[in-house]
Amino acid sequence: MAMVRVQDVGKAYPYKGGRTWVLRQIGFEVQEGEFVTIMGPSGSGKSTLLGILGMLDGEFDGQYWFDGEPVHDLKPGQRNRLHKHNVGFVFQQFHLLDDLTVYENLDIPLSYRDVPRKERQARVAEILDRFQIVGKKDLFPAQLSGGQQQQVAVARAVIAEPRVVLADEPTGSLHWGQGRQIMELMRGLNEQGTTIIQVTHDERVAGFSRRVIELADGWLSADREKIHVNETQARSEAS
Amino acid sequence: MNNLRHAMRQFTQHPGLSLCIVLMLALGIGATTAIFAVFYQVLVQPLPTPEPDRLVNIVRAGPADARGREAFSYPMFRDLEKGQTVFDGIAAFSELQMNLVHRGRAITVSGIFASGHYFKALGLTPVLGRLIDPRDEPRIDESPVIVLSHAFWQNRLGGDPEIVGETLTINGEVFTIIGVAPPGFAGTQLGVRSEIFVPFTMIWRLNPNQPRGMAENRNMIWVRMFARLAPGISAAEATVGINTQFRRILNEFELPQPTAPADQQQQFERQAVELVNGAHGQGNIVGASQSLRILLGVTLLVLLIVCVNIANLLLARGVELAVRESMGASRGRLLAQLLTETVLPALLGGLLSLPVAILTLGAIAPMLPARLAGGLALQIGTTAMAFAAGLTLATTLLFGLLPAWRMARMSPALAMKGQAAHSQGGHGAMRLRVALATAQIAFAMILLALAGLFSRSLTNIARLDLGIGIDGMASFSIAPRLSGYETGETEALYDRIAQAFIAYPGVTAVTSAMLPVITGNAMEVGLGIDGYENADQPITANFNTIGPGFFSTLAIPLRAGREFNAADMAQPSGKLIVNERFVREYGLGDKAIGRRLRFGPAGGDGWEIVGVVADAAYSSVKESAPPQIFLPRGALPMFSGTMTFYIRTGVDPDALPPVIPRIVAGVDPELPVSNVITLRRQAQENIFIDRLVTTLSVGFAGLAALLTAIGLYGVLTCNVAQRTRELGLRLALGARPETLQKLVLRQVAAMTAIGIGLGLAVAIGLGRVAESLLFGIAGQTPFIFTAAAALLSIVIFGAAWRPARRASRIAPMEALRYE
Ligand SMILES: Nc1ncnc2c1ncn2[C@@H]1O[C@H](COP(=O)(O)OP(=O)(O)O)[C@@H](O)[C@H]1O
Ligand SMILES: [Mg+2]
Repeated sequence: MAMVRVQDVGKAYPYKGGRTWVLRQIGFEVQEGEFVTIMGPSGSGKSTLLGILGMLDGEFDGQYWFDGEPVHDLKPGQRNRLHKHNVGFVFQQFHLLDDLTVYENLDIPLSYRDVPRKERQARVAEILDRFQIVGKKDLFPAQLSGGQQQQVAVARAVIAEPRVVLADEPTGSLHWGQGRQIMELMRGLNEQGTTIIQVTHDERVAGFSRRVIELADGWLSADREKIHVNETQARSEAS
Repeated sequence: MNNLRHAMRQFTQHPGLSLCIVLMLALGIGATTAIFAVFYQVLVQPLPTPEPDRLVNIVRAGPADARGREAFSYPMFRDLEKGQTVFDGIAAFSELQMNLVHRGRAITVSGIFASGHYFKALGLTPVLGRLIDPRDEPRIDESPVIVLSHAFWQNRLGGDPEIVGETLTINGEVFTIIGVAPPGFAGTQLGVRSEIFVPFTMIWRLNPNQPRGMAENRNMIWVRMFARLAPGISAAEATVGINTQFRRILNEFELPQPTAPADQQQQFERQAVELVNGAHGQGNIVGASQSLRILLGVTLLVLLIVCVNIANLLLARGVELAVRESMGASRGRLLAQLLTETVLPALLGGLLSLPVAILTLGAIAPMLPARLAGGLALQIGTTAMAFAAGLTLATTLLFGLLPAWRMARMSPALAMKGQAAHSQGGHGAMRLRVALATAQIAFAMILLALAGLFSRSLTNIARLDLGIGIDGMASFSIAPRLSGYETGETEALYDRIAQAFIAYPGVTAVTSAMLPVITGNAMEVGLGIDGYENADQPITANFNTIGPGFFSTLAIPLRAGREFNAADMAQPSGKLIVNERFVREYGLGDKAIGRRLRFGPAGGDGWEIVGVVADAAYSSVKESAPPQIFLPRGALPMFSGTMTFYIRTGVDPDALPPVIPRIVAGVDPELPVSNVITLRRQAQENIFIDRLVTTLSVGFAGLAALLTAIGLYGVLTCNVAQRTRELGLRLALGARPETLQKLVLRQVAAMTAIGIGLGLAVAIGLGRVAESLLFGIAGQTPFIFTAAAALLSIVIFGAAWRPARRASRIAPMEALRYE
């Protein structure tokens, strides 16, 4: 069974007395463990779609099953619970909580999941270690570079061990050097089994995933598996 | 991390913001609580008795402001008391300042003559001994017993538990203490803290000025009554019952002669009594209820501005909440967090509001006349504290839940997108914040307009010519008849006192008068003028008896004739002085000197006018002088029992009050001195309501303007930050920085126009309500409103200046770096 299955999903905003459609008749599936990129021009509905997939936005038409659960039928509370147990978010603007230290930012998702204190400490320590940011744990976001902030944001997204990470232009605010590090991190997560759905404009970023879904003006315009081409192969083919 | 810790963190990490919120809350809640405390005490607080709602005041039917509405004759009271069945006792009372000597010390106390059913009607039980009951007034002049107020017993007699049975000397008569009233009870009159209670029948013994005839005379009305409704009897039933009886008594004793004019007959037919709510006791402070309502409204507006400000500050939180939600926080959890975060500043603000309230009361107290300041215990009582707590709770919910309510209407997915880059919570939130800031401008406009009206009114009052040279003067009162002086002895005493003051360094003149000036006191008499006929209009005038040199000492100009000399005092020589208004009113022209007046029926020599003086504020600052006559001090022995002295000094008049009691004690150590005050201060006290309302409304309006400026500054700063990209883009497209500044200022101009327009509309309506408190100015004075609007605009654009500048200084590359 597909982890994510959307069918006929549409989304409209009220506009000048009528409605304007931002997403129309979207349908696709994502299997557990996939690494999917959503691409498309600005305003084509990518972020909107991600919000629906991440169960932050429950107001849409059509059907969306997560793990066989009909998200479109869930009440807000149930949706929140499903979201809590399965989804981690990464944003273009990092959205770390400015008033909290790195350590506390990482602790937040666990506290929302009522993880016991002891275990929380252990897991934060573990993730600090894994992302090699132990030295930064008492700093505030403003004291970190953009790349470091996003690193913390990714750590925060996965600390509760979600099954899927949704990333909206995770490198959009970073230089490519920093962006690549973040993508390496994401690849690592994917290799360990986390499903990843990301939005990007950047072909280099898209290159980290196998599959690209393209949106144009709210329509799904393409959904293609890419043949994975690594750099050595590319060079040999070019020569 | 739990909510509370996070709340603490929020607090300490944004000390400026947090302090700002706490301070604003403290000011808003504190000011409101202080005004509420006064409001509650003057207008709401019931008497400290069981079931105060069952108490009624017995008054004459007719308009609420009719003169003598509350007064009945003594025989009428006794007749009503005897036959009535609808009440649990009718109480009569009268108030008198009494001279009391206890263990060799003389003091002036505020006393009550209480009829036998006074305490029964109130339903009070003593803490010691017993209270006055019908046993204590067998016949007039009998039964010298006294009940002490709890406060008097505690403060003056040290709460001595053996006090019952001891004796005190009041106005020269020995009284036996029979009991102590329960704590908190200080009589039933608003603004008067009565300290001792004696039987009503003792009034003739203790008040030498009280004519004996008043006990039988049905035409002299002076007794005030209240009663408690009997169990099971409604106010309506009691009204019917008491009126039946009232009518019967009238028909029996007061039926007019059949020959009396028709209108007199009709007037007799119309007489009836009415029962009005007596839960708050009797009396009111003139003009107080209207001004207190306005002031309470004013402070509530200030508080509203505070709430809006804080909500506006917290609304900037939209994105943070959305981020938290994206990490799995449920709505309930976010709500709990928001509330905890709000509770902390609210708690601190609420706590800090108490000192603010106390300081505000401290600022109010010196503006009140001394008697009133003592009579109203100006303090934050339990009710006021509960009120403050309630306000804190309400404001917490209001500004804590506004962001939560916003959040509920906002999709978190949306909150985090595009516009949200600078964590201001998106477009809708911005619109709400702009609307709130505009509302603040409207509120501030209302307050400034009102403050403008009151200030102008007070300036008008201050510009009035009192006609009295009040600078360099102090006054005090004595009541020698209450300390055992006989009528024949007072004249000599007054002379000795005058001499003692003349001998004091710096004193240039001393005089005296029965009624103190500029205190609102006045006595009116009907009279006849020889050779003056006007059947339509009875001739009346206010009168006062005065000592020698009264007009020269008070610097009231003499227009014709002469003023009294020492010889006029010694013998009632039948001379009097009138004012210019009297001359005008009764058409005496320039032939006033030598005309004769009479107080009784024609015959005898009457009184000869020997002088005409200028009109002055004899009684009140604001009222124009009524027709007034002055008689020599000794001329009416019946009124010579109390006297107010006026001292003019060439040095600082404020140095006089402290030494006055000492100088009087040098003449007679057992003679208490009261109402020691400089005349300038007396003139201020006479208009204390105006001063109070103006000072407070100006203060609150200033505060409101400041808060509005702060709020607007915050909103604009956010708005500019939020529009950084847009503004940067405009720059990149060739806009000049000044254009961007104008863009911001244009928005401010629109907000100001709308806010001031709305505020003005309300202010115009309120102006009409406030009109009764204004002097020499209409409730809708365009000049004042324009000035208020101009002032507010200056404040607003002052606050908008920096954010607007910032808009013009945006670096386009910085703004456009992303996307
Ligand atoms: N709250 C909203 N109200 C109306 N239209 C919106 C709202 N949010 C987004 N849109 C519109 O929906 C479309 C898709 O937005 P979005 O999903 O953010 O696009 P993308 O992420 O692909 O740039 C855009 O045209 C945008 O203007
Ligand atoms: Mg987007």
